[in-house]
Amino acid sequence: MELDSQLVVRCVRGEAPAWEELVRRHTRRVYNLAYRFTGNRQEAEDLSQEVFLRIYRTLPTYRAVHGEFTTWLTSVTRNLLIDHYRRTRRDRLTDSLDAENSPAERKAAPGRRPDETAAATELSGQVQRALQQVSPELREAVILRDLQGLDYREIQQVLQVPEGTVKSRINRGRIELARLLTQMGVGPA
Amino acid sequence: MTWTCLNTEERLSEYLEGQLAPAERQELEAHLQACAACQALTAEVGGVVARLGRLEAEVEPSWLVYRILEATSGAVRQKKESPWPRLLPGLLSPRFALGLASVAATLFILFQALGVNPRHITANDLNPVNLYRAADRQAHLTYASGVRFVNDLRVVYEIRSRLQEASATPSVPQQEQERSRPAGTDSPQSERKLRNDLLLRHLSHSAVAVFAVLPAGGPR
Repeated sequence: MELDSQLVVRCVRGEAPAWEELVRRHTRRVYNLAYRFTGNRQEAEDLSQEVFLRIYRTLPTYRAVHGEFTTWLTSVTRNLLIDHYRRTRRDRLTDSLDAENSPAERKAAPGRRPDETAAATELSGQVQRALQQVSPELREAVILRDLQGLDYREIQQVLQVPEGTVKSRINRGRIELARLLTQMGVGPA
Repeated sequence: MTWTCLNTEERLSEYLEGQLAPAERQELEAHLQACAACQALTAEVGGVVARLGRLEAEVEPSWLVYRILEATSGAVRQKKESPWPRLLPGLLSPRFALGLASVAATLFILFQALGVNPRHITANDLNPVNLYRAADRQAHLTYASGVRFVNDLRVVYEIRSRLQEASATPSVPQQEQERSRPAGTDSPQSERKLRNDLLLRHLSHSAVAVFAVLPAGGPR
């Protein structure tokens, strides 16, 4: 499989199939980051498009020596999410009510067995509702670490803060999330 | 230093990820044994991390990729890949148009040279034997008409020069006059004659060159 950096080189040369491959590869990652942060599917869809638009326009500036393509992609996504958050500042309480959650709206993800779907959906919704109540700073740290699977160094690059701050935010975010879930009646796994 | 609940809270993630130094880990675990609240917190946080790790990725809508592609590169490939969308941009590029034009020009010149009429082209025309014969015939016709033209020119030239001779100095031959003419004694008539002579030669050379390329008239 071709490396992301190789695809980028081909994209800059004007090869449309290379860009299509890049988009297909990373749409889900970007969408998930956006959805978990905003709690809103439509916003996640719109923001995903904005992310790729920005990437597309600044593609020639990417240099493999500066880091992984995914780190750059995540940085761009995160920055757009923060901008979006600041523009559409919401009350924390209404956030938890706005978050989409009804199983009827949500189609089963491919690959899930039918009996697992309902339970998984429910849990996903609960986690999402709890996430919305965590402050954005802590929320993004937890999402990047525990949902996107980035290591501390990458998170540092994305958030542009010292490693100590990264660890501290992840820790506080997890504790906050745990307390909220306990309050909601979701016991430890 | 006594290990407090605050210490536990601050170092909890590191503890769960196995990043604490042995000494610190011991202190924390000792505290946990004595503190129910911290025990509960450790279990909850551990549970959350495990839960998040098991959470499956949300599936984006199937049209999202296409919407993104359309908004960015503008190139949207259908699921059943037909070659046309990919060819079309190529067909519209200037390079292709120029290539097409030069191919057409080459074919036009070839058809003319081989005596093939592109309007009434038949399978017989493309038979290699016929192509050779046509090319051969064309070459000979061209040569013949070129020779004819040069001869015609020469006849004209000869007649002219004879006429000029007759009207100027009757006895002195053309060549002697040209050779022995000193710088200051150029008569206007001989000068004109020389000029015409050079002009005709020049014309005949370029005419042969031109007629070698154009199709010859006459019987086919």
